[in-house]
Amino acid sequence: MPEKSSATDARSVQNPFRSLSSKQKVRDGIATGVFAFFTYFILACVVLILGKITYDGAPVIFQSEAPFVNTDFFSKSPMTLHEFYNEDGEMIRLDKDDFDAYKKANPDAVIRDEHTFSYAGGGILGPLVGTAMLVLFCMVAALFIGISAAIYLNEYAKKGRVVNAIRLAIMNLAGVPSIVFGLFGFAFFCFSPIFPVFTGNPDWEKSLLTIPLWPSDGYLSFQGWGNSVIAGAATLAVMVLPVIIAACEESLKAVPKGFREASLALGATKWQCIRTAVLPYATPGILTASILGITRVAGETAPIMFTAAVASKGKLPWQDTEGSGLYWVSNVLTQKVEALPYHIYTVSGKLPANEALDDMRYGSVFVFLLLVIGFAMISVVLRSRFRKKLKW
Amino acid sequence: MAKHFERKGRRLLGFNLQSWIKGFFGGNAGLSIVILFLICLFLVLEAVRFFPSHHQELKLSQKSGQEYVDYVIREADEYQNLVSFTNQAYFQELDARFGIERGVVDSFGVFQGMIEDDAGDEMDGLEEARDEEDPAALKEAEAAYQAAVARIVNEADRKMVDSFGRLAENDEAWRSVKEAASSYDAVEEEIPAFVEEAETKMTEGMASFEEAKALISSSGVPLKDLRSKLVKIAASIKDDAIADLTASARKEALLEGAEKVEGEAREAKLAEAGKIVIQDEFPFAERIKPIVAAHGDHVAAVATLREKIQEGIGRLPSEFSSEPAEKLVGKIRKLEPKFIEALDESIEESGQWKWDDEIDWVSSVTKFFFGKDWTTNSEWRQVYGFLPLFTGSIIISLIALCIAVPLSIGAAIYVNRLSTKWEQTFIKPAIEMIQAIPSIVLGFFGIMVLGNILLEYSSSPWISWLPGFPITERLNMLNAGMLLALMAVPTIFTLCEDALNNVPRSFSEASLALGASKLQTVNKVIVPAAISGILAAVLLGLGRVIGETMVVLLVAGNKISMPEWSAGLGVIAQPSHTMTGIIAQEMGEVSSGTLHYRALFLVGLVLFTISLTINVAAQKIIKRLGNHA
Repeated sequence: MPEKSSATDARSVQNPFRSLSSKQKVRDGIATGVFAFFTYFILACVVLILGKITYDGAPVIFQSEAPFVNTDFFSKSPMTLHEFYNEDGEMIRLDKDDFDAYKKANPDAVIRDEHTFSYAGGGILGPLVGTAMLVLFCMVAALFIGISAAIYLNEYAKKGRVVNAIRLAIMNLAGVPSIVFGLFGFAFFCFSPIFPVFTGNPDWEKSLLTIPLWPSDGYLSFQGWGNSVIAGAATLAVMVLPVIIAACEESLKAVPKGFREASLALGATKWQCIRTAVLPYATPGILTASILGITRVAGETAPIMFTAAVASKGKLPWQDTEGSGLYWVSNVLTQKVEALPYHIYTVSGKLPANEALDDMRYGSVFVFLLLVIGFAMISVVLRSRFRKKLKW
Repeated sequence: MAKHFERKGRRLLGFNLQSWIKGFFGGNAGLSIVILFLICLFLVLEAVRFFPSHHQELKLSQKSGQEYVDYVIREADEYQNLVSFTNQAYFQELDARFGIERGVVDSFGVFQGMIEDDAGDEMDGLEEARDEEDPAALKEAEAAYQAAVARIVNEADRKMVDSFGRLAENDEAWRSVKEAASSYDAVEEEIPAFVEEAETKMTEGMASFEEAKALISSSGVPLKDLRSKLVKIAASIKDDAIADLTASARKEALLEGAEKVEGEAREAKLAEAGKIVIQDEFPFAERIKPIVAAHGDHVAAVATLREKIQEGIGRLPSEFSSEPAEKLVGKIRKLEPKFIEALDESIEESGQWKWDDEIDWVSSVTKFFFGKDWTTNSEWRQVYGFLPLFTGSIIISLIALCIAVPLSIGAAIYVNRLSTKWEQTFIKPAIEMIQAIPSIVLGFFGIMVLGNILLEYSSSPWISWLPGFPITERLNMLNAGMLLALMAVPTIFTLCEDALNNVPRSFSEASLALGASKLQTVNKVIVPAAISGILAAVLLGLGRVIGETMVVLLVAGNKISMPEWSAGLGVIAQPSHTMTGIIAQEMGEVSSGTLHYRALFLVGLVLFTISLTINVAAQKIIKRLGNHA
């Protein structure tokens, strides 16, 4: 018995630098394996999703013959698809334009078993244009206000409780669900009668104030923007505003204090200091932030669902718009638009599963994904570039 | 000396250029703060105004008797459920036992219709010829009729005629049906013996089931009648009460309008205003009498229902040839005691119901937050109960977190501590890239691919033992939760990785120097030191998941009801609706200022509060626990 206890004693004062016991090694190996499996499992899921969408979507966009890209898909707006059998029993699928042309060209063609599928034909020109407009207007507004606000908060405002509280509030708002911003935009931009439109026939019931604009026979009517591009863009701008302010402030903060002090010591005014010693070095960060902002804005569906988007429109926003000059601009801006994410929602969520719709579905999702991921890639590349370039 | 630094710029309105620039930036900062403040203001203003309108709505539905009628409606709905199960079971059994016979009878019926439709002219000709008794003409007409029938019979596709495909395999029966149809004389309308035989066989074979079915479906007739009677009364009381409420406002508006116009128009408006009677108080007590009096009928109807349905269910056969029918009847038998119990409860509660109990404003709050029903598109009554949406959101988020938390914490530990340098450089940006995938794309994937995969593979034996499996609905909470997990992964991963990175190097060096293995170091030193960051990461992941809209709108199934808890963990395979989904789905159709509109804003406010709380909590955790690292 005493022998045994001395043996355990001896073990407990073993060489602390001994290699791991085999049991421990196995345990370590298993744990590492599990963690590695988790990591690669996540990546596998992503690859699966992107792969499936590419596999089904790419053939819609690319062709094996020149011009290698399905130009129709980018030059037409969504329209109804007609499916029918001709004399020889061949199945033909044509979008509405082509179908009308076909009927006109062969007036006595046999058309049997005709089926129509809404939104399945044509291309995605309208949604692309709509999304581009939304993103453009949104980013112009959000960057203008956001960068200025960040400059003020970081450069001008006195450091203290108030600024900290504001910063905290902004940070917290960045995490609010996008649908809540949509709700706000719906109540505020669409229906608050403080937003003016130029119009020939104002909505008297809604309008808070209507100013006749002599000598033209139009009015400046404060009736809210309704469901429109501009309301949607404004909603999106409000949504990214906290993100942009936070990111811009971050990049302004990253500029060393010495830069400012040096320029001020040389007699620069505050504005000169900001313009020459701060902004040039913060620009890369701001640029990255704005591209990330574009990614986020372009990918959002919820805030535009009831502020701007419409399932089908047929025409591009500037086609067939009435009025001239200011009225024309106002009319273009207060129209509903098609938007790519909303288009995807319509074709995949609102319509029943049908094989005829699959090309449209996978094609639009693929294009959308390419766009959004493309922007995200650009921002990642830019960031790493600038990081290498700017070092102090 | 100081003169060198003094600048005298141009001044505008007493300010120099620098102040203007500062003012410009300050103005923009102010604007953004005002906008962010307005968000809160709008949400709160619209949301809070929900409660008074809701109170009013509740009072109205109480005083108009809708509340009472709802008891009857609920009873009738549950009863209807049983009836439809019985019918389904009946037809399943019928198909299993007399599928061929049913196919024969149905197919012959379709042939009958086709002959009457397509050979109408020939039938008329035949009838005329028979009346005229001219043998030559008769022969000709008969030939024409038979040719027409033969054409129809030949052209008719077996699948088209037998829409259930019961004759698809059975050539003999199909040939007999064709023969029967060919020799069918549509003028005389004589059903061939072959078909009649099949029919008799069916009726005789199913006689006992048929009887039970008839008992069950007749048992609820008085209740259904009562229901339609009461619904009409209550709806009319409510309509009149609403008209009465707005009467004085309408009258005022008319009188005001009359002031502005002259002559006849004025007279007309005044006359119209005169027609509107303003009562001191709407005579609810008078109007509600028929509903209160109907309680006796109600009790009697339920008593009949109880007695007959118990007898009917007792008479249902206990041996079946079809498995689904057996299952359905088993389900009915299982539901029966619950149904009877619910009936008794409902009768008791409705007996205590009073139309003039005072409803306090607290109940307009509690009925919203604890109501289990959300019905907005019915003309009968709008009910706003928030609980099903909330539970839906919570269950989906929990599923997502259960999947995402181990995966992303594991991945963060692997990438931060265990992987090679080379792996780090590509895994980190790759996982961060997931954040860029728009949620609508993930929703799309869920609806087009994942749903089908789940549906198909959940019945395979190696995973079908899981709770809720095999899955019966393509769109459900599990599907949504899995996709949301993927959305939460980058958030949790990035923040976790940061937290692990922030653990001072000396911690791990000390641990390794003491002879601990890598895994021991991670488990005992690094993770405890970074726990605050990890907790915050999980919380922010929850915030991201709970506020996500498009995935749940597309994939969660959008069924507004409380999950059936009796399924245990299997609830995850049920469809549900969510807070974000309901706003996205219904906001487009409401007009501003209505009760429905405000209810949606209230849901939005709750979401807003939840996500703010989560954010603040995450920051607090980092602050409080993060100091020692």
